[in-house]
Amino acid sequence: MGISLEGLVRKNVLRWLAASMLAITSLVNGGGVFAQDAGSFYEGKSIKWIVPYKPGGGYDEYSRLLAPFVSKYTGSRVDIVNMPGSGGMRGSAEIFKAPADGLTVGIVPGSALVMNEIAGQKGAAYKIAEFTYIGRISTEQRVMVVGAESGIENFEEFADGSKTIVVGAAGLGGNAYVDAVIAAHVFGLDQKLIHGFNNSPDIRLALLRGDIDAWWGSLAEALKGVSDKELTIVLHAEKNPQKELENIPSVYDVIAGSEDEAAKVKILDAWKALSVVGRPVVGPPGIPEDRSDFLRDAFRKAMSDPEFVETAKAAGRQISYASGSEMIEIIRSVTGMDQQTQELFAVAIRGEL
Amino acid sequence: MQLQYGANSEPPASQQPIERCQEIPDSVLVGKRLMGILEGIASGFLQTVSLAVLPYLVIGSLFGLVVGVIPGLSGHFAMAMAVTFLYSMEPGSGIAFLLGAHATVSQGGGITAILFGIPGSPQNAATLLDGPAMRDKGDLGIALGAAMTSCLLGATFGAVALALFIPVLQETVLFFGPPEIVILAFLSLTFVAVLGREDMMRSLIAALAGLLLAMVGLDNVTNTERFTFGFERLADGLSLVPVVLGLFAVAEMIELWSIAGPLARGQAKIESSRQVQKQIFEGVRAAFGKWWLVLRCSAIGTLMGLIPGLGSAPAAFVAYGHAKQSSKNKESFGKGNVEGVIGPEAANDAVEGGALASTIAFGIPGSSSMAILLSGLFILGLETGPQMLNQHVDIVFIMIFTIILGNLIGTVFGMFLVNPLSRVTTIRSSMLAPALMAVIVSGAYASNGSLLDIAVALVFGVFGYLMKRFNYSRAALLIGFVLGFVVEKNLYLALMLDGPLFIAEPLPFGLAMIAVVFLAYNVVSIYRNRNRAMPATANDVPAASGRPSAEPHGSPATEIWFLAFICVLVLAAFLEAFRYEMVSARTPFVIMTPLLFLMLLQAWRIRSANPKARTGDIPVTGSTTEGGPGKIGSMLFSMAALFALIALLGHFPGILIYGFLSMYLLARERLVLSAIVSISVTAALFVVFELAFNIEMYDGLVFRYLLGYRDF
Repeated sequence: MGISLEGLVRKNVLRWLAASMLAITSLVNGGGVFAQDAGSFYEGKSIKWIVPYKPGGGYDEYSRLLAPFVSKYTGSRVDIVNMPGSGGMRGSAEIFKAPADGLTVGIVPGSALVMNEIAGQKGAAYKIAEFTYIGRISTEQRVMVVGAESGIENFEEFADGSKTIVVGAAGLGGNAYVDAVIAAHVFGLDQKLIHGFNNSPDIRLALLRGDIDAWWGSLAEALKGVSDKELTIVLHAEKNPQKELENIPSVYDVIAGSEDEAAKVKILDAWKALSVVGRPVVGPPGIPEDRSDFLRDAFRKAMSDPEFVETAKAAGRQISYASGSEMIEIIRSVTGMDQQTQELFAVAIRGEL
Repeated sequence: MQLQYGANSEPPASQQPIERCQEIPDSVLVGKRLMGILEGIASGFLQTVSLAVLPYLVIGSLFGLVVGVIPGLSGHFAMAMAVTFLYSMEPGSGIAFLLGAHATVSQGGGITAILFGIPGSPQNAATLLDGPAMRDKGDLGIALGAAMTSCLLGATFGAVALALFIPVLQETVLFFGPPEIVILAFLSLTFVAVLGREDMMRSLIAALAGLLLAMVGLDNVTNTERFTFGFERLADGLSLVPVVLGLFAVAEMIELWSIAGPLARGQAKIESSRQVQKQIFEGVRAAFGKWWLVLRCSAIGTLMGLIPGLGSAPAAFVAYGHAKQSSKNKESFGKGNVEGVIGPEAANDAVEGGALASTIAFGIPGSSSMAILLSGLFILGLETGPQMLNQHVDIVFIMIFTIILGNLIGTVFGMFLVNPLSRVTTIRSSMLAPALMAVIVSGAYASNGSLLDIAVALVFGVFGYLMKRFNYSRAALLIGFVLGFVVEKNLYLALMLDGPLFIAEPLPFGLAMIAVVFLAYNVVSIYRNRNRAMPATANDVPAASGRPSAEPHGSPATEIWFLAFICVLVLAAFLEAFRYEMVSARTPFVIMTPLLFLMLLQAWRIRSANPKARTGDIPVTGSTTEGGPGKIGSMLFSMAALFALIALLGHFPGILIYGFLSMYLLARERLVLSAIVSISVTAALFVVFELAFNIEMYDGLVFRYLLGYRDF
């Protein structure tokens, strides 16, 4: 107990000392504390990495996989802090309001943050465009699947709207919901959308039971069901599909040659752009440039470290790196979509489409 | 379509899952499959006990046991921590480590529940009904021995059931869709009637209040934030851990503080280690002696484990209700009947076998813990679903043997924990209550990293204390709270999918009939029981025998005030609900209308009851009222101060100052002693949470301000 007690006292005293020093110096220098070289700044520090979900989910797993490598290239300890709540909004807001000293970063649900801002969701205590973007870990590829029990084998069977399909989704305005609504709108499907399921495992069980026919989910989750012969992918949204998606029509194939093709392509592009936001790593606004550059560089090295690539592959986690500046571009393109499209998504998210 | 199914599966010829069960494929295939399963058993067992796996199993089980003992940390947490170690492990040892850590959590939680009246994890809440009462009677060892043995037996039952179901695992899982789940959850709800010693009217009020509390938060059908009353953080709803900790543990601390004696009240002096040891073995024998009860309660647990999203807390309560209902000695339940410990502890571990079913059969996790297990299996390079059932059935058996052996290890080591921990219960309350309070708020914060959860635990603590005083069943409230969301969500889905006639379909209809028969049986047996037990008293005050000091009662006048307060809250909620869309408002209305009516009826009942007779019935013994309202007041004040201190100065400074001031100023302990105890408790919590489990506790507003957070 002696050591730990000493440790406790020391840690707390040191924390307070450090905080007061920081406060005093920043008052005196007017924020000019950040004069020292970024590399030596991070040496021996600890970076707080916020995961806005409970331990055990995808965001948490990516973070825990990557943390040792970020640590390796920054020279700092990386402490993962889970801060679940409000579908990731709470943890994201915590990152947004953290001190901009470059010692607090985190992984955020990018497309959900964008969608909430588009829909004007209240309680979104952040500005998506103002985060400091360090980079992106992965994107989500969305696909439409049908269950074996539905008796449907491909998209053509219900493409012309002659057959009602029952589609499941979790929450109103969630990913699967918006996907389904937008797709039905663009393709003119006869769709009965049942939302209110707890989560995607719930929906997959309903597919297996034949309670619902179809669902919009992530490619990774869908492929698992395909290999077990329980699900069939009938539609995807990729322009350059990977091997597993060959011979399956993309959303662009479906509208090719239809009337208003250009207008539809615009909607689909905006929709696709949302999923490209993926899972970015961000810090609060206003991190000094030398530090954010240093972090971006370390993040890039960590993401391309062969050992990380290997472990991520073994864990079945797709990675898809984008740099901080690319992320800024991506965010700009999504938030900059034209008024009409933005309005369409807003009503889709609110469940009014 | 047929082509889509593998050779080992049946063609999905019909729509009804039950019919599919009957269409078992060729006998040849079955034989082949059985052979594979037998080989799997042998291989799985040999792998589990091999030197490459067993050490990991032991470590995992002990880790789970410790996590279980610590309030607020649950199986989900144990697994999430264990996953991080998997990357360098072999599949067998990884599974043993991961699942071992999950399997023993409720064993550890049971120890905390019986010793301190604090549920170590939510699934141990039902154990609180009789466990601490046994401790007070001086039967601590018996309760613990019986609890741990029942856990082991329950887990074994669940695991064996899982093994037996392997050939029809997929069909079994698909059996339960929204219509079936609605009925089953409803059936579980009917058990609130028999749960406590409390009377039916108050139990119903509590259960309805629990259902209403479950409605708090975002309704994902309409995205309406229900009953948050401006608290944004309530949009996620009330979490189970702080609610359980508050209702039971904080309430117990308030009572302990007001009584001002050691926690183990009935014990004249603490038994020697030898005696406790002897009692433990007596408890072990008791659990084996009640094997038929263990079997039935385990079956309840396994069945409820199959239902996604239910968790093990309701299973334990239902098992408790069943144990009480089927017992010859119903009156002694709640006063320290060993059957009241055996039932829930057998059920909450049997859940494991059921919960694994959908994860193994389809790779679809039924709970957050199972989701972690799934990602753990993925990390280990294993595929669940048909592939595992057909090609790696030995892995399934490693899981099964891990559950059994893990619980065995937990039981053995748990027994060693009992003696040192039981010494703590003899510490006087003026020091124990603040110390345990610090443990409770740490656990409440750690479960979600949310300051709000500390407030929730404290508020529910006051609420739980009042409920206990006025004889409202906290168990009924909790079961309503846990099931409310499940019932509403699945009812909505069942109506959307199958229309209002879903109830007329054969499966749900059959289950509904069972529910009705059950309810009728419950009502009749309660009615008969009541007539036999208390022919003279028209009212519901339990017999004053047993341990009067632990049965405090408020006066009728204060109960009316209590009811009036709740009534105002419900009325506010009622008006609020008019603002919601109909889909979101209808369930709350269905709950609130009878709730308001019953509360008015209860108030009328209290008023019309002969006041003289009532006050005569109430045992106002010295020990109950010692200190009186002043003590309660000081406790409430210190709880508010505790929250303010943590919010302002941070978690550890907060509990340090709180502990010291409560002991030194409020309880007038010696300065040095107060300082030593409060510092040691804070240091111990710091070591456990920050260092050992790496959970970051709240920094405090002042510190955050100095660091430059934009909170302000």
